[in-house]
Amino acid sequence: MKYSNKELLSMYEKMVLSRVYEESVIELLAQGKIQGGAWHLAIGEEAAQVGCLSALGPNDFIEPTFRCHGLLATKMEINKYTAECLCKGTGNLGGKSSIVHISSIEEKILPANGILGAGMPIGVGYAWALKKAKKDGVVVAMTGDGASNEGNFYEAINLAGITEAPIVFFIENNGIGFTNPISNATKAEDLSAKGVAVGIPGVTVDGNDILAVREAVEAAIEKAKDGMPSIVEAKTVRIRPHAEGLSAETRDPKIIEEAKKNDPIKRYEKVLKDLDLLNDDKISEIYGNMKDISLASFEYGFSSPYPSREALCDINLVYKTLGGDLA
Amino acid sequence: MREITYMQALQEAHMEEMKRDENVFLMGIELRNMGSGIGQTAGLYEMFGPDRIFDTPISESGYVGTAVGLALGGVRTIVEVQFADFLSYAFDSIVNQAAKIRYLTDGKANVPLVVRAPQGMGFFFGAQHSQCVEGWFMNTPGLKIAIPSNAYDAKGLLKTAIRDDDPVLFLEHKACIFMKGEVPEEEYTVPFGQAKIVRPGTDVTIVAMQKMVWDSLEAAEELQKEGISVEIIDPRTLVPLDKETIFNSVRKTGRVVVANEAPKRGSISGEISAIITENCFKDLKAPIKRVGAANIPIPFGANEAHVLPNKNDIVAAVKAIV
Repeated sequence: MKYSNKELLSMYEKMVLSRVYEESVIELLAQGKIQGGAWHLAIGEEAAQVGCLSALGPNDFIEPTFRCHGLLATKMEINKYTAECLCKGTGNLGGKSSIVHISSIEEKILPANGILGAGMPIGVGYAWALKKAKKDGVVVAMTGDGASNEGNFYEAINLAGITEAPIVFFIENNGIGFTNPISNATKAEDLSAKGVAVGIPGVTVDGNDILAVREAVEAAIEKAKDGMPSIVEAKTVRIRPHAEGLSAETRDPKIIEEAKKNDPIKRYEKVLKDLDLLNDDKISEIYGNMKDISLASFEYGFSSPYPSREALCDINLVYKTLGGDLA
Repeated sequence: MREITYMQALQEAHMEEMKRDENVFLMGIELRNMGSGIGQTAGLYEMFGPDRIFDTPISESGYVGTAVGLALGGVRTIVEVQFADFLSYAFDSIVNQAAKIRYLTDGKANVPLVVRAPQGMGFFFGAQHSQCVEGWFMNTPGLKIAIPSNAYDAKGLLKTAIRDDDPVLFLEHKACIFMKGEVPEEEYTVPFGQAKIVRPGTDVTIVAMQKMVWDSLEAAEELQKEGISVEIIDPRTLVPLDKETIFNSVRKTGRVVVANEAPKRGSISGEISAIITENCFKDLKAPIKRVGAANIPIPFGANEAHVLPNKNDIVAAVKAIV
């Protein structure tokens, strides 16, 4: 095995935290403690997301999508992160951005985007800036299958090619955009093939196999450092509707049932059990710990105040160079 | 003092700022072979080379977005869009991305970006190469907008824009770009948010932008012969807008014409009129008059004259309120 036991277990814990964090969201919504609308859950997609994130080195940046609730709980200081999701003043961005526009530059998380596809060229520019500054890092820009149909996606991969920016385009293909199945959105079978159009490589992997995803992204990061950006597509299935409380499930229930049989966490558990790294007691313990961490972060968020109008309307947060009538 | 064209002034501003700060980076279409769409960066590629100047593919949405990412990553970036009309393709990168990043990152990041684009009449290229687009953008917090009318301001404002730590939309004007004006050899900048009284007067205030400044000067000469004294104010930047200079003039004259080349419906002349009404209502002796283009797409070639405003429209507007 390429990875240490500690690393293998850490990946498992992150998958579980991601899952449990998002299951907490469902419970808290049902209890009326939080409101629906912007909770785009990635349950079932943990291998793709955690596999991707685990491939990053200490100098690399991730550009998440807003379907990264659980994933970012594994990456960020969780209390501040949850408070931000709840638009509270103690959130890491003072409650202005929530999940849809989340970022944490100091934790090497570039802004997520509410405008699908818009983050792709920004990721290229940021990666190019890293290269110009002779920094070692790369950008891994996440997108869904839906947003890969945006013109900006094509323009970004083309610009990445000619600038040789150190970037990896990670397409988390969960087979559906809102309620529209991918077969209605594109004739393409493998979205990684989009790279052919602009002369950059692409690879498609089983997005429910965390080790396959991680290895593919690691290889792509190495390529990116050598001046060859590329696409990694991870094929997975979204288990939940588009967003909690916003849209009903319209798919054939059989699709969801089949997907649950291919649960990425269960699959990885089997790998770790075969390696004698995990048993049922240990699994229960990890689930329990992650649940405690998740709920504690929500409690922190609930007990935090909303930001003041003064804090939200501070012109210093709109412009850095003041002067003249900007308000 | 020496006289150079508005375009030469722009070229000098780029050159001086790129010499002054190695972190200034320039990108756009046809910078290497053509020295920009019109010639605003002529000779600079030879001077600074491919590490400082990048020729983009025809890909406005993508390359302006890339420029936003560069600026977010700390590279002080100037990005040219060949005609301001093409900013529609780059609209999201400017309005939803560049302008909002500082706020959405809680002030932890900023975007030192200048988006340059020539706008307006002057080339007779019709509906998709002749528009004035400031009104598309002024409704966006987080963005600054500069609209120079002459060579001196073009150079001084561009230098300020490049040094600014926020995204600046810098709209050149094609009918002004070959005009010559006095530009000192020595270093200077023009600060944002300071309007210029182009011509002092006592009877009517004209707030005029870009080519309309020049048309207003001609109109003022004509009106002077009839005993009407016109004061012309060039805002120079729309965000920030120097309201005080406008108010002081209105308090003196009590009569206002706002002249902007864009179609009158939804034009920023409405915004400026509203600001004046909110603040100087008691000083007004007559309704504010607006001069603008007809609410019609701009027809190609010389036919544009039937749609776009000119000196005669300004004269008529002034006469209607004195």
